[in-house]
Amino acid sequence: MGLLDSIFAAGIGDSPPNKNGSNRSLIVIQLKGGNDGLNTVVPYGDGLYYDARPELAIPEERVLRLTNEFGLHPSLSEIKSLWDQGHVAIIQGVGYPNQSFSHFQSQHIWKTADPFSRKSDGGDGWLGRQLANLPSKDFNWFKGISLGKTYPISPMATEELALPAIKNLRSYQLAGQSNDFKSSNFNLNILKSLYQQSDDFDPYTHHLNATLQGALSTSATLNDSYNNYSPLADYPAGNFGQELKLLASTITEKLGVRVAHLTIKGFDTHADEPTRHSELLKELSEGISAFYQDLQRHELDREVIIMTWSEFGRRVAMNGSYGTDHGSAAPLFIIGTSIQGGLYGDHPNLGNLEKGNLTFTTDFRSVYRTVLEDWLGHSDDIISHQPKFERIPIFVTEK
Amino acid sequence: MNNESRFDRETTSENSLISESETSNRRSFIISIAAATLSTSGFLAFLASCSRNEKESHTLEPLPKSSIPNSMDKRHQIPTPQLSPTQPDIRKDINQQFDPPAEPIENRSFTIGKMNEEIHINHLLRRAGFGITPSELVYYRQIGLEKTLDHLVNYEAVDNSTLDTRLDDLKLKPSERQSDLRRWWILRMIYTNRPLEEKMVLFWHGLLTSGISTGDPLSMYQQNELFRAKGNESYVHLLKAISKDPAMLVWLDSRKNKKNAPNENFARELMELFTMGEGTFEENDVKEASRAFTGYFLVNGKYTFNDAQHDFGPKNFLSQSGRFSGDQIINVIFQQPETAEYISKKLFAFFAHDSPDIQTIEKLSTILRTNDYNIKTLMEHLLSSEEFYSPRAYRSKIKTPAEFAVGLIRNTGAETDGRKIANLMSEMGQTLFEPPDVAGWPDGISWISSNTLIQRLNYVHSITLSNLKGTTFDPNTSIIPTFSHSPDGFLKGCLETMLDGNINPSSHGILMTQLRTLENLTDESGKKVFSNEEIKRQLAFFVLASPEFQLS
Repeated sequence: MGLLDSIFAAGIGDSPPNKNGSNRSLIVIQLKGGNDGLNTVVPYGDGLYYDARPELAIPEERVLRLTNEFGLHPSLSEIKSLWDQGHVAIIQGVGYPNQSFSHFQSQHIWKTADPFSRKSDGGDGWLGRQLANLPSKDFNWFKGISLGKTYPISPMATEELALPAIKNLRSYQLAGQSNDFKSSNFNLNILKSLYQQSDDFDPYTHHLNATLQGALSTSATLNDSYNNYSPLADYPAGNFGQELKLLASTITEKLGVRVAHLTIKGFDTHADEPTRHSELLKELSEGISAFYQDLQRHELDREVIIMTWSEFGRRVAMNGSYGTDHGSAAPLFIIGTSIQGGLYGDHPNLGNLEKGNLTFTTDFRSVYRTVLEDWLGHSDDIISHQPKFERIPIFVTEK
Repeated sequence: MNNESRFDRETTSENSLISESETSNRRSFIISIAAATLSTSGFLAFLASCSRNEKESHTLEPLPKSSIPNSMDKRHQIPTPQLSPTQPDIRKDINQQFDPPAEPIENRSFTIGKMNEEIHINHLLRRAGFGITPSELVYYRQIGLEKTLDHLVNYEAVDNSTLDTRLDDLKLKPSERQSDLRRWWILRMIYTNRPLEEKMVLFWHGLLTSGISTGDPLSMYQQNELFRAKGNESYVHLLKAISKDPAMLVWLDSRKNKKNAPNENFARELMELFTMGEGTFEENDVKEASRAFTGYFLVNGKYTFNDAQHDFGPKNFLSQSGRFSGDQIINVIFQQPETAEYISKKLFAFFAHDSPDIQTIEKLSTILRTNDYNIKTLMEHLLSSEEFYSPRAYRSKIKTPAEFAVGLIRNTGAETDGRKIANLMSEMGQTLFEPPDVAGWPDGISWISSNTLIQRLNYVHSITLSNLKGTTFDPNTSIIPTFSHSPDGFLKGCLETMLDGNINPSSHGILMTQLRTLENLTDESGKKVFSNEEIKRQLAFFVLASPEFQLS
């Protein structure tokens, strides 16, 4: 229980901002289901795009142009504005060797940064393990949080730590307890003792105890912080927008969030893709825009970057249900004031498909290495010591 | 009483919220006292004294075996089980297995009470059902494990008309309204006389997944009834039926599976998730199988075979060639050795534990292959196997929200019309009829995150210490009626029903200490602060909120 003891000895607060990365946050958003990258960052300048998916391709006149060759899906108008301000990096053709077309395997691969794993559960996520490896004096319960419904496929999940997973504020409060201790319905200490006493007797009791302690440590603080926070932007109404708002409150109230993970479900567009994809991208765009604006107005935008990922892209050609099947490489976005906007990497060659799928040009581990080392100042045992995962120069160089 | 100085000396950082004692507020008084008793030195002293007293009686007093309550609540009435006419050989094995073991089970030296038939019965009811009710506990202990198992497995012989009456009286419309559909199923899980039937439906719902958000209540209702009707027969038939099930066709985007551009979604998940598992097939097999399922259309909510859209051409699938239809693809799948292994592992993991021996899976696979994949036959073996009752299986799972929410109602003997429970289950992470994705619900540790654990505790609180609309828990009439109505007896009853009478001595000590504290608390006039009912409610809360109760 050594780690837990020292965790509770540590207070909640930041370590002094004297090291590279110590005030910075990395926000990671999963587009769950497999995002159709070709219709997200559209190669409208390439005739093969229109030849390959005539009924599904975004018409040239509707594309939001970024360059002579590439543009964005029309739903991404807010992201286009951020692009115009120079804050959006798009990494093209991100994928990995030995592509898996299974959601679960591929998510696991992105989660653990191990493309040769064919498992679909267990293991430590690349984000969570940064926190598990922190010296205990640097740990606080808010360093790594997940928002929304979470499952162990999340890159935050580790076998050792029970990091806070917060669906929403309302459901994150223990009933029968009040700030005015005297009005509580039951003695919380008894409950805590029961969990402590059972710790390690049964397979899960250690995790239960750790989770309870984490929940109790974060619940009141989260509540108070949200009540103190003033949003300086209008967030869209759905779950994603509200989760971003809650996340913003933890950042503006300086709870010490280093890494956060959120998810938008529904990208597995096997059927009726145009409508569904359009709505999802709009949700993404509006949410990110509100969040960014909020941070900007709080003057915290320099300290946060947002990264998207998806377990794979989609097949180039349309299927028979007006959608697409599971594919391979896709672009991802990295957004922030500290980002040097632009297109990075090479777009996969539409003339050289492999069984109907794109060939990746950037290994996702390069992206991970870039954000971990150049932004958070961490080196990861699995990714950092392999020189072939070159870092991508997406950051504004310090003046 | 100079409480303040005692607090000052003994408060820990967690108790620092208590800044003054207001003896006029009885709740604060009790909490202050309790908090003080749990300061480090006080607590250790209490624990030491508890251990000394408890030393000989590490077993809870066994229930008086011969007492069945006079007025058994109708809802818990268990009809006399009709034993099946043929007696399989497994019965002999059961008798031999369940004499109390000679030595303590590994890692169990702390438990009160060794693994014994009573614990096995509770374990069986949790796994093959949703937990034991207080009156079932009395009755099943009387008839013994073997007869209990028989009653559970041969559920088609059990009359379920009390459930039907209860559901009819509520006038729910499960095929028309989502909320009614969930409520209807939850009430079935709570009040059925055939627990294994409902547990099997839950298993299939999590394996052959579909979600309501792309369908409508009607098709999900019908799919649910399909699982009830066919869930215990041959898996081959169930799978063929599912391949044409409207909810499944919608969920896996196969509403219109067209010849010249087949949709791969169903074919892939059919192999990856429903029958063979990852890595047992090639991408080409997915493509070929999808061709066989072309022509499967949904018209006006019903499955139709559109032969104009069916690809009748020859296919190469899993090293066999033929002009396979969808059903024939399924036949080929069942010829693969992986299929029996896969489904055996899934069933074993759901009902027993996550790490079966190879021999166990081989044995179960053989049973499936030689019995036309008959699920009931498999379950008879599984639920009477040594592995099922082994320490590796006992308390080795986290209760899913369904098991937790339903199990609490059953264990407490609470009465509910079910109206709020589906939403609370969603808060715990499981929305019936809406699995997160086609792999169903991830099992195990993923059920417990900070958010979901808070929600579980809040659910317990809402039923024991607060008012959950539509649900009534009466501690004076629930739990095991044969126990004395004192808080002591009530606690024993709770521990027997909810925790199999199996709890580590330190935790038992904490509960007993709390019980005495609550009982002995008096105000200035010498009047007891807490009524017996209030004490029982708190005890029920702690037992149901305990870490052991999270486990199945």
